[in-house]
Formats: sequence, C-alpha cells, structure tokens
Amino acid sequence: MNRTEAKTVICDALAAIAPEADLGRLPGNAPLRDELDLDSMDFLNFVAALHESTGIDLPEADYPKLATLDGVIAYLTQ
Amino acid sequence: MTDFLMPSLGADMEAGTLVEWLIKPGDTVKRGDVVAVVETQKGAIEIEIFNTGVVSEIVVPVGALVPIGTVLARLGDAGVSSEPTRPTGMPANGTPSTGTPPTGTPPTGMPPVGMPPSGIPSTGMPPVGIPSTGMPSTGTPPTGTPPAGTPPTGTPPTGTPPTGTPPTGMPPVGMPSTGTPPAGMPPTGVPVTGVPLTEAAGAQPAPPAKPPQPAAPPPTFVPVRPSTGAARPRISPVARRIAGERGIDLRGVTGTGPGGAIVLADIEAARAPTAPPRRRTGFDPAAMRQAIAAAMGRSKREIPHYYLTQTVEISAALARLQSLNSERSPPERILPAALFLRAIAMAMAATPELNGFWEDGRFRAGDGVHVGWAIALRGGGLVAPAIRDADRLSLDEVMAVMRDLVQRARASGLRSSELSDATVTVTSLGERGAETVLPIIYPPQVAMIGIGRIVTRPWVVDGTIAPCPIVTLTLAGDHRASDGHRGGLLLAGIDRNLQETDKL
Repeated sequence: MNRTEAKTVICDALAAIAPEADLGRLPGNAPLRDELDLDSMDFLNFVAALHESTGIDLPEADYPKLATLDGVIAYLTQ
Repeated sequence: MTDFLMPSLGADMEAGTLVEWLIKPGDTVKRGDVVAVVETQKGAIEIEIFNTGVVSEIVVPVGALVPIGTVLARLGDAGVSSEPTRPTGMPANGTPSTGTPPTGTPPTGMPPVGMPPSGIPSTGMPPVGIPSTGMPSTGTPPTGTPPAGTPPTGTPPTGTPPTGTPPTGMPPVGMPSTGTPPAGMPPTGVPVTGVPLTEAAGAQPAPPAKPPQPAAPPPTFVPVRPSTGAARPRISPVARRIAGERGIDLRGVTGTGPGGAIVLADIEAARAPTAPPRRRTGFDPAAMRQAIAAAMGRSKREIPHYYLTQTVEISAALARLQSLNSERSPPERILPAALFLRAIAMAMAATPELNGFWEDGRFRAGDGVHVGWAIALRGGGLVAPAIRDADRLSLDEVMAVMRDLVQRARASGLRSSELSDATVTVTSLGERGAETVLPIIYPPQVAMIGIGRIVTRPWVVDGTIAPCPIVTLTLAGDHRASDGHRGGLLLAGIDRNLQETDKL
C-alpha cells in the first residue's frame, strides 16, 4: 500500500466517524483524537474500519503508533 | 379498540413532530414494532408500539407536533387480546382528573398527559423543555374552524360530551389535572409540516376552550388544551424565544393573535430579511441544549443530591481486557467502559434502593437494571439510551449494545423505549476526560454514576508504592430515596466486581 492509498483508506474511515470534519486540512502531525474529537468508541471504530479495508490486524499494543495522521500512514505503508 | 399513545421520551422531552408513519390501517402490529418516526430535540426517534392488534385508524397526520400521551393511532382487537391502555400513575379506580380549575401554579404532580411505555409513569414530571418562567401558555387549540389539513376524527374539541364509552381512567389528552399546561405547547391538531420542532409552536392562539369534561373525556384525538384559567398571553413563549434569538425588539412588533398577543407569525414577519433559514439536521443543538438545561435545572431544584467517590485500582481488570483483546480483531475488541458498565450493573442489582425512580413523593424500584449510557453527540449535546437488563448481559453483549447505541445515537436512530426505560444512568468521561465527574441525576431516576479517566498514580501494593492504573468512580444519590451508607455499599460493590475479574 502506498501513501496515497493509505491516505484514502484513512480519510474514508474518518469521514464515516467525523462527517463534519474537513479532512483535507487535517495536520499530519497533530493528535488525531484531539483534532477530530474522537472518543474511545470512535477510535475503536476507526481501527476497525482500517482493519476491514486493509486486513491489517492493528493490535492494541500498536495504538500509540496511530496517534497522528502521519503515524497511521506510516503504519499502513510499512 | 385500543388507543396507541405517544410514549414518554424521557424527562427532558415532552413532544415531538411526527415525520413518518410506518403503518397504515389494516396492518397487523405487535408489541415492540417500530411504527412511526418522530423528530425531537434529540433527533429522529423511532416510536415503538406497546400493544398488539390491527391498525384501525391513523389519528395524527404526518407533520403534527404531538405531546407525549397524544393518541397517535387506534388498534382494533381483531381477535387479538390487547389490554386497554391506562396511563400509568393514574388511580386504578378510574378516577380521572379532578377537574379542579387550573390555578396557574407550577405543575406539582401529575403530568399533563402520560402513557409512558413499560409502565414508567411520567408522573411527577413537569413539562420539561420549557423553562419554568411562568410564561403563560398560548397553546389554546382552535375551537372554531378545524385546522386545515387535519381531519377531525371525532368529537370536536369543544368539550362536547362524547357518546361513546371513554377509556376507563383516561384523562383528557393533554389536560393537566392540576397546574399550568405545557407552556408553549401548540395545539397538536395544527399541522406543522416542515417546521422544525423549535418553531412549531407558532400556531395561532385562539380563545380559551370551554372547561373540559374530566369525567368523560373525548375518546378521540383532540388538540392539547391548556388550562382555561391561564392568563391571556401577550406574547407566546415560542415567539418570545425566537424574537430573543434573532434580536428582534418586541416593541416594534404588532401582535395579531387574540387580544393583540404577539405570536410566532408576527415574529416571522418582523425578522430581518438576511436571517438564514433554519436547517433541519439530525438534531438541533440549541433545542437539545434547552432540553438538557430544563432537565438538569429540575434535577438541581428538586433532588437533594449527595456525592460519594471511590478510587479503584484496576490493574487486574485492564490485564483481563488486554488479554482478551490481544486475541481479537478490532471489531471484536472490548473497551474499558464496557467492563465498568458490567461491574456497575451487577452492583446495582444488589443495591435496588438506588435503581429506580422518585415519583409522587416515593421511590419506585426499577423492573430490572436498565443502565442509561450517556453518549456525547458530535456537535454538542447528550443522550442516554438504556441498556436493558445490563446486569444479565455478558461482557461481549454489553459491548455490542454499547456500540450499537453509540452508532444509532449519532445517526439519530434511537427508539422511544430506549429514551425512557433507564433506571439509572452512567457517564464515562473516557480517555480524554477529566479524572473525576460529579454527575447530576437525570430525573426521575435516583442515582447516577460517573467514571473518570483512567490514570496511572502511585498506589500501595503489598506495603510498597507502585505505579498503578486507577479510576475514580463517583455516585450522585438522591437523598429522598437513599443515604450515603447505601451508596457507599454500591461503590464498594463496583470496586469488588472490578477486582474479581473472572466474574466480569
């Protein structure tokens, strides 16, 4: 998966959770949960959506790596 | 023949606009079916029916604003037995409203109407959603010409004694037995299609109706009637509110209502041409804020709260979760909140004094542990749908219900029973919340439990200090129903449940 594909997958997942957000202006290095006001359930749904579209397991132990948009892109493209 | 009434939607909601019928005459319905959709301050709510039978008549047209207790439809028996409906909380002997002339004092006891689902009376709930400012009602129904588009289905709303047998014990719909009518409540017979709920009360006031016939209420749909003794309004509450929101100077507005009263139409005519149209979205944040304010204001006025807090060390509980989740794919994972909720529900079952309602000056125990789960909505606002019989659900089941409720709450897909069934409410601040919350009880419940953010703090383990994950649990209790001793036992029970993780 390349960066563009990863970003598409991520934005699709986030758009379903935070439909009002302007994802095009989401800073790459800012905490996702603060930027988009994601609670625990939102974040779980985000991870579940990434899992569904990529097949990657995203274990809980890796959640800290998913804190920012850049972090998630790096994780999905590794 | 059974009347299907608009159910209660919780203490902070007294009416909704019927936006869709999912049934038609001739359809067979059974208890629990979703039969209509109502737009409310909490978004669109699916209305369930609580009787079984065949639909014989749709009484309320799409677009009407319907207070709780309004007859929405009628069911014929069609060989299926269905119990006659009787508003819970009314005397069983069928004694209806006393017919005492309304005095204009604030509502103290009986609600204006009320056929709540699941036997939860709305008794004791004042009209909520309308600030108790003593504003006179303008919701007098039309007494002469019926509102266009509303087929009068029976007895005209003039107090004419009906010829049929009224439902036993049925109070006149919308007729408060005492006190002030729901201020700002418009006549339900006036179609308000396409008008947001917050503006729907702009119906033209009319002269007060004749005194009702409390002992022989019309068995058919009638518009809500306010008390006949209410002072003649100079401005309708909704007109006042909308004017305030738009910064319109009332001195420059000519009233066209009865007695020169300013009604919503006058405000509409006076509004600035640049005012943007109000868009209907999932819910109106301003309307929801008002509903929350009304319910919480009532809670603070009426409920003598006591507060208890307990710090709980949860390393064992989190280790259990971690172990469970490590073997699960993301959609099957469980959040700490589900674990807390299960521990709380089990402890509630052992502390029945805190699980139920304060009504008519006494406690009524819940018919199960139905935990209201406070869900924050994007854009602001809260809703606390019930997780029914949460003490009997497995951890996976609790998590599944929570996921479903959060998804539906945010998509405006909650059901009427979910908004009125909760016997206690739980709020969890989550990972980004504060460490401690001191909740405000959601009336008529008698307790609310708060869960703070999980933090790592020094903790004494086996005589030495170690960093441990801890959480602060709080209980707000209603001193009319219980005392701190009982509340302390509840918190201790939750703590114990969180340590005995094999039971979770």
